[in-house]
Amino acid sequence: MATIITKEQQEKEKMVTLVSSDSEKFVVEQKVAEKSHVIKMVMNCCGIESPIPVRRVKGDILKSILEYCEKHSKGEAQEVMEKWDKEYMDKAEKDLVFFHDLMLASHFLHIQELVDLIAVTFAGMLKMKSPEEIRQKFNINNDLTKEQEEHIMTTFGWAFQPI
Amino acid sequence: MTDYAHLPSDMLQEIIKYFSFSDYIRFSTVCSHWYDVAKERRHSLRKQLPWLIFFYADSPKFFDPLEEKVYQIEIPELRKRHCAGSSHGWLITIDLDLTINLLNLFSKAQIKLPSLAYDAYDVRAKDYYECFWSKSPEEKPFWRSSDLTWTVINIDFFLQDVIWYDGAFYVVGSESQLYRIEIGMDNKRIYVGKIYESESDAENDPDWNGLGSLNTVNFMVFKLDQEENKFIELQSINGHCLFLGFNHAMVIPTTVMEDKIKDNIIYFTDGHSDEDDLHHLYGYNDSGDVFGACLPTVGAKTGRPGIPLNQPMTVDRGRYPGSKAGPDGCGVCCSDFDGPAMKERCSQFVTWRMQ
Repeated sequence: MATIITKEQQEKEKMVTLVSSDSEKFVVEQKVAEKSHVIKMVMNCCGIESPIPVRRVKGDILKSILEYCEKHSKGEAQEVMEKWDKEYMDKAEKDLVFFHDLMLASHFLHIQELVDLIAVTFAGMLKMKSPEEIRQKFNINNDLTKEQEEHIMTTFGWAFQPI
Repeated sequence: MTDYAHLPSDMLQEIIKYFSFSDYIRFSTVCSHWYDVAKERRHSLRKQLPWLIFFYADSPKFFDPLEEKVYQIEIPELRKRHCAGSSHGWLITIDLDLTINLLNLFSKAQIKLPSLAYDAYDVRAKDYYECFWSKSPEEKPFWRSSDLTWTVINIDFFLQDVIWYDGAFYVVGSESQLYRIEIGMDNKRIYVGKIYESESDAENDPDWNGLGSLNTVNFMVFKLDQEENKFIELQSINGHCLFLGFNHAMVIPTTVMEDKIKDNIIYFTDGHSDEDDLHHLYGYNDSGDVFGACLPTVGAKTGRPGIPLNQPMTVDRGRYPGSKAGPDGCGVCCSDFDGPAMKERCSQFVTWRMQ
């Protein structure tokens, strides 16, 4: 006998559970999770019945990412999305630890739209800054080799001495 | 752990594509990993505005209109050479022995061009103006990267400017007449129209007191309506920037730029500079004052339709001879300094300038 699937059940079937590295659970619609190419592949091969572990992403980051994916699965007007994206990034870039982890997670989960958004934002944070300013802001050590440094100065020394 | 220095290479590559050339260089010197990533650059850099160039012996100065900074770049390769023009990051240089080379400013790559007939060339080497302002019939040789020699196009008027557009040369004569020259068996010349009616004969103009003392007083911009073959004077170039100099005139829609840049601006280089006493035997082009080099177009109004990107633009260099502002400003676009389209760009560059 054929089972009759109610609309409610159908909706329910589209939900998937994601588990962060610190065991936080998130129940989201399949189409939201699908924004991540990696999760989509997992869902395609393993189904959505059992929770999917997202081992390299912590709860707070996964939460934020899913918030992004949910917003971006609604098909809202472009202007609305642009405004939302800007606010989302404004908030993210204030905390450089969070921003870093968000960048890694979007890259790891392969959410291209978010990778692009973060790349633009990050590029904007680096633009028109001297290497020293960049190092200080992002806590980076200057570990250039002597050869590298020499090559840069002989070829592109001019870029550091605007007159 | 937060480690910006060791972000995945793929991720950093995504970032590089939003950089201007100078941003890219500064990025590459932050740390060793970023240096490696920059070296393996996979995407071309962001579209950027051309730079203006001013010659000071072998250390040209560059003005980046976006950052509004001036850079001085020492180019030993320019020693004992004359620079005759530029395009897309390439300079056309002429040696003392009249060898013509394309020199890439940043990669320092060089491409030797076929040599040009001595007499045709000599005029230019001795005195660019003489050639430029000569009333005698002129030759306009051009070269394509696939060609072995220059093609000479004879013209019986003297040239104001040449651009390459839509598979043909558009040539502006001294009487502001525009011709289209289709390159083929007979290099057919078609009269397009007159850009504007001259109010005064240039050489009888009292303001015209010979070479080297000309001032830019105004700009007039005309757009060619190709269907009607008519020129329309524009009151503004909203949404665009115009670059004039010792290069092909470039109109750039500011909307295609990732950065918010000022529009409705004409960038040009002024041929006059009191501090310039570096005229080389073979005529290093004199240099201009960069800080006076941009001004909004006259009579700018808002809300006027912009000029479509692919329309040929004819730029009237003013009713006064020399308001072209000296043959010294070169537009340099560095975004493709080692791109695959190099050859193609070179050929454009040459064809546009060898007049």
